[in-house]
Amino acid sequence: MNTRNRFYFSLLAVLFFMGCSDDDPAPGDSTQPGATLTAEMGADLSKQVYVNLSESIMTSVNVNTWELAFENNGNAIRTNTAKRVAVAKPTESNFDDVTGDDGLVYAYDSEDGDLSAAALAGWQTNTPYIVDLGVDENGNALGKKKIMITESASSDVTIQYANLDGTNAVTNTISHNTGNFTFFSLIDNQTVTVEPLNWDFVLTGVSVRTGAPCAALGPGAQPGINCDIYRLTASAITNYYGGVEVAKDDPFDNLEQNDDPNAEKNQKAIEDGNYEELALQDFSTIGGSTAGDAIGRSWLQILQPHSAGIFKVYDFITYLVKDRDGNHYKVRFLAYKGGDNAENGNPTFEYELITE
Amino acid sequence: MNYNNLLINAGSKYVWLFVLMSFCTDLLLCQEKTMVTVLSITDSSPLIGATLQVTGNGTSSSGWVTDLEGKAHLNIDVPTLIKIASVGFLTVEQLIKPGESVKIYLKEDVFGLDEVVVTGSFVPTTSARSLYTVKKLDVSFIEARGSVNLADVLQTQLNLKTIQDDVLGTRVVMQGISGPNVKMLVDGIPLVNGSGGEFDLSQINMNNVERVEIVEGPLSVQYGTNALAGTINIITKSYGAGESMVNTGAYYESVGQYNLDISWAKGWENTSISIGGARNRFDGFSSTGERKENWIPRTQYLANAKVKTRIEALNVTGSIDMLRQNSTSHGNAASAFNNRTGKLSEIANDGDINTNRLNGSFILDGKFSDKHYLNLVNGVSRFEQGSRRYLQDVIDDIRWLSSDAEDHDTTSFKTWTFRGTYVYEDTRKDQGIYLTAGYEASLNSASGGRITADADGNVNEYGLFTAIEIPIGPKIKVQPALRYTYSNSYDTKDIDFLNADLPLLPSLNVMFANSRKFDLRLSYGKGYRTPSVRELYYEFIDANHYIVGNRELQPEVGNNLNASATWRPAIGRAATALTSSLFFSRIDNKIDLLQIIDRETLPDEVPKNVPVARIYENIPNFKSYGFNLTAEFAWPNGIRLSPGFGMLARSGSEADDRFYNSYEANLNASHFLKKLNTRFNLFYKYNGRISEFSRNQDGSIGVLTLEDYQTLDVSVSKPLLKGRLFTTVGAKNIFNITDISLTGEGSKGLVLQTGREAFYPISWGRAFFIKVNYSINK
Repeated sequence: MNTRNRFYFSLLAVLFFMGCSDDDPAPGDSTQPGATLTAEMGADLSKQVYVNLSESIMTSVNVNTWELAFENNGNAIRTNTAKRVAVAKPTESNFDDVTGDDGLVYAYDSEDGDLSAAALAGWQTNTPYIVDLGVDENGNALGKKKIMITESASSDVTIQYANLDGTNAVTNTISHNTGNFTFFSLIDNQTVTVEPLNWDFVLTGVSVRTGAPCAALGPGAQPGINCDIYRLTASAITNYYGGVEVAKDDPFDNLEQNDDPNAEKNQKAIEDGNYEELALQDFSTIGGSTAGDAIGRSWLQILQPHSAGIFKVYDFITYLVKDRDGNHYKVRFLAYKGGDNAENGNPTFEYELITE
Repeated sequence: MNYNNLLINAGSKYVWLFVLMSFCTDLLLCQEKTMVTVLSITDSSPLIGATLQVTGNGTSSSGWVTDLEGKAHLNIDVPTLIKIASVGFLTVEQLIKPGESVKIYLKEDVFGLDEVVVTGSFVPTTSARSLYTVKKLDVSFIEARGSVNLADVLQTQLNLKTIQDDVLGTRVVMQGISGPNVKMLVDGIPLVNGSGGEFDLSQINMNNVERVEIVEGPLSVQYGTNALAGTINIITKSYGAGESMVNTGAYYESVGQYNLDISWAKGWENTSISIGGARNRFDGFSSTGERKENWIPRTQYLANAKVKTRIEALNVTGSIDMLRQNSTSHGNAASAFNNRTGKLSEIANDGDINTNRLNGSFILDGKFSDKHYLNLVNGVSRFEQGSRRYLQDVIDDIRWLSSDAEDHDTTSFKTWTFRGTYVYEDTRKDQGIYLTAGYEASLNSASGGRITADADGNVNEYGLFTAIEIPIGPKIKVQPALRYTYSNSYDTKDIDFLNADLPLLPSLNVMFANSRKFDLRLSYGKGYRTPSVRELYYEFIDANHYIVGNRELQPEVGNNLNASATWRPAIGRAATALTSSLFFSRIDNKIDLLQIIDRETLPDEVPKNVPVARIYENIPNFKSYGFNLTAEFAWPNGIRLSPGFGMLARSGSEADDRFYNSYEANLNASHFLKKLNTRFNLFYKYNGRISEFSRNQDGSIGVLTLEDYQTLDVSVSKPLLKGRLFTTVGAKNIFNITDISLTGEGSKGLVLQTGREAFYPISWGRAFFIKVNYSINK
């Protein structure tokens, strides 16, 4: 099955199961009951799954389709952190002079999605950057490109890019579309459709640094080898750009979170949570956060030995989500293994509308 | 053969009497002038059915058998050299003069010196005459240990270790060298290895086995590839003329083993037929109490049939045996969302592993005249293993097949062997000249999802061999031997004999024997091992594994020197045998399954974070040396003690020539109470720390050490109901050993194939067993 077919198949599957539901929810219907959904990202995190709570719709998108996303109503640029896209700023100021990345430190977008802390934050026209295209679903490096934005207008952006050795030079003018961001593939030289129009959070891989930051190591630092090692981890990123806010209720926030299976926090169960009791007013009591990683990775913890691939899902944490449409929901994650073969990378969560 | 005649020599005498009754008709016609009485030296009891044969000057077939008083009347006219033999006693030769009346006392053959052995020698010979030290584990040993399969038999032997893997089963390590370098034979036919590239000892069942013969060191001239560290030859039961029996057996072991077997055999004048079947059930065992068992449950079904007939001087034997094993590996359940029930549940990965084995053979052998011996062995060995992965919801008890195609596989391996040996014997003197010439073809194929398609027919091997055994004086004999080998999978010139690119394997044996008091054996052998089909063409790639063969592999070539001396003094009333042996061995280009440390070298389609990434590679050299000291004491009151001590040192290019030593000791003791017809047995073994070493990517040496442990088994065996019901009860693993910890940091351990745990399962702990056999002899 090729990826496109898979995509349609999973979409179809989602629609099929929705069709089976007794209560076909209408958008914004305040009496809509809860649902339990599994976001099939795959054990290799090769899919991003966009969730629209009010319509109970999940949209699955292949991760390895884009590298850069241009803000339509602004000039920020996001990178695809779901496949470890990173950016370095070369010392050369002339595009043609850039031939390598020796000694350069790559930056990644901030996990919380803060555009002012993105890898390309503060980019300037006619300044070359090097983009690491990240990895495919098997972890193979996709290579690097040098890029330079030569023109930026409200309706379009003109970008010049090439391989580091100067081959495959392309200049492309990208027209802003009507969504929040316009997604672009430096590999396929085209814009791609990624985000659906209405979504509340997306289950996706994110690039997370493990180990020490290179800056702390001084001259012995070898980026990617003994410091700044980035790997992909499943996360739930909210549509902060669309105004989604999250208030997190973790009754064991004070307990240390670690990978020891016997740690106290890892012994807690779903019954220890407050999911049943939490009400609408708790959203304002706790206070909503607009950070993209307000849910983030806080519901998932890998346990030792890591090779066994056993994750503890903190089902006692409840996320109170104010969605794009202004409805409030409570959400909790139940499992990370799921799907046909009960594999990792298939987070299941349950949610329900709260009206009072 | 029933079991009581193995325990009680008297029983076998009756059998002999019966078998050789035809001779006795002649006896009545004998002249009365010469009489020989054959007696046991132990208690002066007459030996019934002892055979007396004229030796020397070749062709005479004159022979007599002693009667119920141990007497035989000989019709001889001139002084004649007579060979006097009785089962269980040492054979003697004596000059008998016509007209005299003599008493001849035979010594008990407590060490089995006159028992037949076949492994390593080109013609069947006796332990005492074999150029190799052949370790024999016979049916009484097998019974006393309550052995179900070969692993149980080998566990307490020096220089042998058994290694357990939950999926691949139990494999053997001999002289510190693992499985593929040990040639596994059944009646001389090579067995194809299993899916792990190693032989699973638990798939050889003991209920149809007469004895197990073990030779340490290379036998590559005789058996070709793989016979590098040693050879294990399983000799199945055979039935003689006039034998007719039905045997049923049952075995229970408290860990959860339930075995049943039945066999039937009938022998006519020249022909015998036997068939048998068994069902073995093992419930599995988990030392940690987890759902994932380190000893997975299995059910084995076995069937065998053998037809033997004699056409003039030739024995023709056809046999077939089959094994079907259904086993299930359980995984630990983890929290997961079951999309079938729409509920959060606990789901485990389970696997069904079904194995089929088939061995068939067609053997012609015999002395078609006094000087010519021919042995033609044709056999096939097939192994097929299918694995299916299931998801098991342990809460709602729902099971479904994984939808991922790469989770399922069926792989098969097949070996055809054709071997012919011709021996010209000139045995006018006791120490004859034996000239041997032979051929061997080994045709291998494999197929299945985990073998690349181009493997078929690409690992065939052809050999020609010759040997000559020459006596030098009455006490010394020498045997140089040579094999030429050709393979279509690699250039056999890599064997590089005499550094002259010759594809030749030599061996040289020297033996000094002084009338059973002392013997000394020296052997040099060059052995080799062709990269197996699996090592060349294996391809196991899924989400968790990348294990591949390597078409660039060179053959392993080993050189081995062995010296062994046995002295048999009488110490007090005990018959004693003291043996010391010493070996040196070096293997070049040893093939190992090595970790791929630099994951960036993996192909694009393989996830770079795959947990297990391994490839077969040659390592430049591997060295080992060691010595053994063993003693055997047998007292006339039925007590036997055999203590042993062994040291093994291993090194090689993976260890910067640093040696790692390990020590072993064992004690087998038994007491046979003749009056009660009961035997008590004790088996003890101390296994010292043993280290596995390998070179890490940064050049340092990683060492993983398995801690020491001891095992102790005891049993009592007794025939009941006039020997029809043979019962053994016992306790295994009295020290209750389960898992032994592994310490250190190494990329390679004894548990290489699955090794993720910090321990290694040795046994399932203390267990009690009872075994009963009921036989009806007609």
